[in-house]
Amino acid sequence: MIGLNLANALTLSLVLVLIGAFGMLRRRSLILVLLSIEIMLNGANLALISFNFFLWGTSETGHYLYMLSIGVAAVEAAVGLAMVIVIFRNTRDVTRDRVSLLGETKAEAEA
Amino acid sequence: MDNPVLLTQEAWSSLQTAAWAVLILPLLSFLVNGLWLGRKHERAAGWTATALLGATLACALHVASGWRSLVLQHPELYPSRTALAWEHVWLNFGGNLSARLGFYLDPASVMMIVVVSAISFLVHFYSIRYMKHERGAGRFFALLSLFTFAMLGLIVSGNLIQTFFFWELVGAASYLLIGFWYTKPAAVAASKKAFVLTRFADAFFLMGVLLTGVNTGSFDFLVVNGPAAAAELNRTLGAGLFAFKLLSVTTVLLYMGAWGKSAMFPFHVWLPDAMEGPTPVSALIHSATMVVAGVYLTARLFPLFAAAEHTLQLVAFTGALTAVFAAAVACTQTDLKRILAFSTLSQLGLMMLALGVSIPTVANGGGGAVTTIANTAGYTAALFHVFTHAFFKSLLFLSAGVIIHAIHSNDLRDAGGLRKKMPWTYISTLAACLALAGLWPFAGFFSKEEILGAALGNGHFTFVAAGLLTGGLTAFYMTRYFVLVFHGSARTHASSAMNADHAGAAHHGPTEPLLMVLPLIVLTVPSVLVGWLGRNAFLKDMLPWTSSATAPVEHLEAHAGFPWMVLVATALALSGIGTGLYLYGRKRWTAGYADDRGPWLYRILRDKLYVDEVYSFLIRKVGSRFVITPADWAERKILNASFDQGGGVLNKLARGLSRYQNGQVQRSVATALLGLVLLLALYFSGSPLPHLFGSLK
Repeated sequence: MIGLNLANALTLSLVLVLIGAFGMLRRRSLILVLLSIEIMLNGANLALISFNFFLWGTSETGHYLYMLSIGVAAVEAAVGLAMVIVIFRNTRDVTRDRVSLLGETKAEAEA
Repeated sequence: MDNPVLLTQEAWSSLQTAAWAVLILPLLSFLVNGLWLGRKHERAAGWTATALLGATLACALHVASGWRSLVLQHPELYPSRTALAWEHVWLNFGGNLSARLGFYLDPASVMMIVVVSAISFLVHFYSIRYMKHERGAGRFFALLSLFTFAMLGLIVSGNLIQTFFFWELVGAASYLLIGFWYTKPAAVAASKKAFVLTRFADAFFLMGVLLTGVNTGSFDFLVVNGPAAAAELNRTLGAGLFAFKLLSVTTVLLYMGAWGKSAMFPFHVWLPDAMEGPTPVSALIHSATMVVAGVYLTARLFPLFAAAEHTLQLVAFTGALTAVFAAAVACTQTDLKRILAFSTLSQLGLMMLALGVSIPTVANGGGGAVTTIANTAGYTAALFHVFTHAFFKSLLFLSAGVIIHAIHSNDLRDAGGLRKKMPWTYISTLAACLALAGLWPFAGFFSKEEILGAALGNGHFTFVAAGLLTGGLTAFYMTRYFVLVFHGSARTHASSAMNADHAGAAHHGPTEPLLMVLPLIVLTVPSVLVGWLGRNAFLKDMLPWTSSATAPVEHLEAHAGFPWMVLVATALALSGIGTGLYLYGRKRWTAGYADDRGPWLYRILRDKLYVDEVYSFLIRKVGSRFVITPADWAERKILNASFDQGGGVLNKLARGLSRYQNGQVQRSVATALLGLVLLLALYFSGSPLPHLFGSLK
C-alpha cells in the first residue's frame, strides 16, 4: 500500500519530471514539447507543495510559490505557443526538424 | 659606490625637459612621417623631419652646455661626473636587479649626443634633395628618424638592458634602411646579411649582459664598472682543462656584441655590402653612429674590460687586424662607397686598438687580485677619434653621394675630371681626405697621434707598427680615391651605370645641387678645426670614473715624450700621398683591372681576402650538411609530423563534440541535462574537483 508521505510525494514529482523530460526530448511536434514542459513544471510544483505540507504543516509559503509558478507557466505557455504559431506561419510545419537554425547557417538549414 | 646624482633642482628642470626632447623629437618625426606625412606629402616629410632633427640638435646642445655648467663646474656634487636627467624603472626582476630606462649624462654620452644629432640633422637635410626623385622618400625619412632615435637612446642609456634594447632597435632600423630599395635583390641580400651577422654577435652580447647582471646584481654601468663588480666576477669556474675565468668569459661575450656591431674582422663582411643602401644612410649609419656603437660600448664598459686579464689584448688585436686588413683592401676597391666602407672599417679598427692598448704590456701579472692600472690615454684617444672621425667620414660619404648623383655611377672607373664641375665638393672632399690621412692641422691628425701615443706609451710596439702602417695605407688609398675622382680626364659614364644608385632615374639638375652641397660645406669646418678644439677638452674632461671607482688611474701625457713618433706618422702619411699622386696622377694608373688580371696580392686584396667565400663555404657546405639538413629532417619528420598527428586527434575530438551542437533544441537540452547530471554526480561523489571552481554552497 502506498502511504501518503514525503518520500512518495517526491517520487511522484520526480516521475512527472522524468515523463516531461522524456516527452520534451523525444516528441517531434513542438506543441507536444510545450506540453511536456508543462508536465515537468507541474512535477516541480508538486515537490514545492509537498515540502510545505509535510515539513511545515499549516504554513502557506509553498502555496504562494506554487501560485507564482503557475503564473510563470501560463506566461511561458503563451510565449511558447506564440513562437510555435510564428514558426508555423514561416514553415507550414510545427515539428522540431525545421527549427535547427541555431546550429547552421540558414542556407545549410534549408539545403 | 656613488650613484649618479639625480637632479631635481631648479636649474636642472630645463635640462631635463631638453633631455626628454632629445629622445622624443626624433621619435615624433618617425611617427609623424611614418604614419601620416610620408604617405601623402613626401616633400613635406623631408622638411618636417629635418626641422624636428634641427630641434633635436638644439636640445642636445642645450643639454651639453647645461651639463658642462652644472656637472663640470661642481665636481664636489658630481664626483663621477655623471648626472642622471631622468630615470624610470621599467622592469623589476626582484632584488636590486631591475631594468631601467634613463638618460645618463657623462662626458662620453654628452659628446656623442651632440655628434649624432648634428650628423643626423645634416644627413636629413642632405636627403631632402638626394631623395627628391625617389619613391618612398617619406618612408626613408621616417626610418632615418627612427634610427636616430634608437642611436640616441643607446648613447644615453646608463645600464646594459637599455643599451641592449636600443642596440637591437639600431640594428632593426639599419636593416630597414640598408634594404630601402627593396626591389633590388642586392640591397635585400645586404640588409639581411647585416642583420643576421650583427644578430649573431648580439646573441653573445645578450649572454654577457645576463652573466653580468646575475653575478654582479646590477646592470648599471656605474656598478658594473666598479671594483666590487670586477672582484665578484673574478672567479674561476670549472676545473682542469675546462677551467675558465668568469670575468674573462663575461667581458669577451660583451665584447662580441661590439665586435659584430663595429664590424671587426671577421664580422666585417656586412659593412661593405651595406653600401647597397642609399648614400645618406651610409653617411649616417656607417660613419658616425651605428658602427661606432661597438666602440662606444667597449668604452662604456672599459673599466670592467680593463679588469679582465686578456680582454683588452683581444680588443687591441682585433682592432689592429681590422685596421690593417681593411686599409689594404681599400687600396684595391673600385666602388666609391666600398672604398669609404673599408676606410671606416680601418678607422674603427684604430679606435678599438686605442681602447685595447690602455693597459701597459707588463702590468697585471696573474696575481689574482684585480689590479687595474689603465692608462686612460687610450680611452680618451679612442673617443677623440670617434669624435673627429664622425665629421670627416660623414663628409666623405655625403660628397660621394654628390658625385654619384652627378655621374650616375658608383664606380671609380666612371669618375674622373670632376674638379672643374664641382668646385665645392672638390674643396670639402680634399679637406676630409687630408683629415682622414691624418695630416697636420686637420682633425684626424690629432686623434691619430693620440692613439699612436697611447700605444707607444704603454709599450705596445706591434700595435704602434700596425697603426703606422694603417696611417700610410690610409693616406695612399684616399689619394687614389681623390685623384681618380677629381683629376685626370672625364671618363665615359656608361660602363657600369646599371649598378649605380640612380640607375634609371634621369636627373638633369645642376651637378652640385645647393641643398646637397650645403651640408658638405658645413661639415668641412669641423673636419678641419675640431682637432684643435677637442684635444684639451678631451684630455681634461673625458674621464667619467676618475674619482669614483676603478683603481688608481694614472693619466699619462702620452704623446709628450715622443715627438719622433709624430714625425714618423706624418712622414708615412706624406709618402702614402706621394705614392698615390705618382701612380695615379703622373703615371695615370686606372682604378683597377677590369678582369682577372693583376698580381696575386692585388687579386687577393680585391677579393677581400676571400672572407665572404669562406663564409659561403661554411654555410653552404659545412652548415648545410651538418646543421641545415638534419634540422630540416627533424622539422619535417618530427615536429611537423607530431603537429599533424596532434591536430588530427583534436580535429576528431572536435567533430565528435560538435554532434551535440547541431542546432536541434532538444539535442542542446539533452546535452545540458547530461551536464547537469554529471555535475551533480561529481558533487555528491565527494570529489574535490568542483571545489576548484569555488564553493558550490
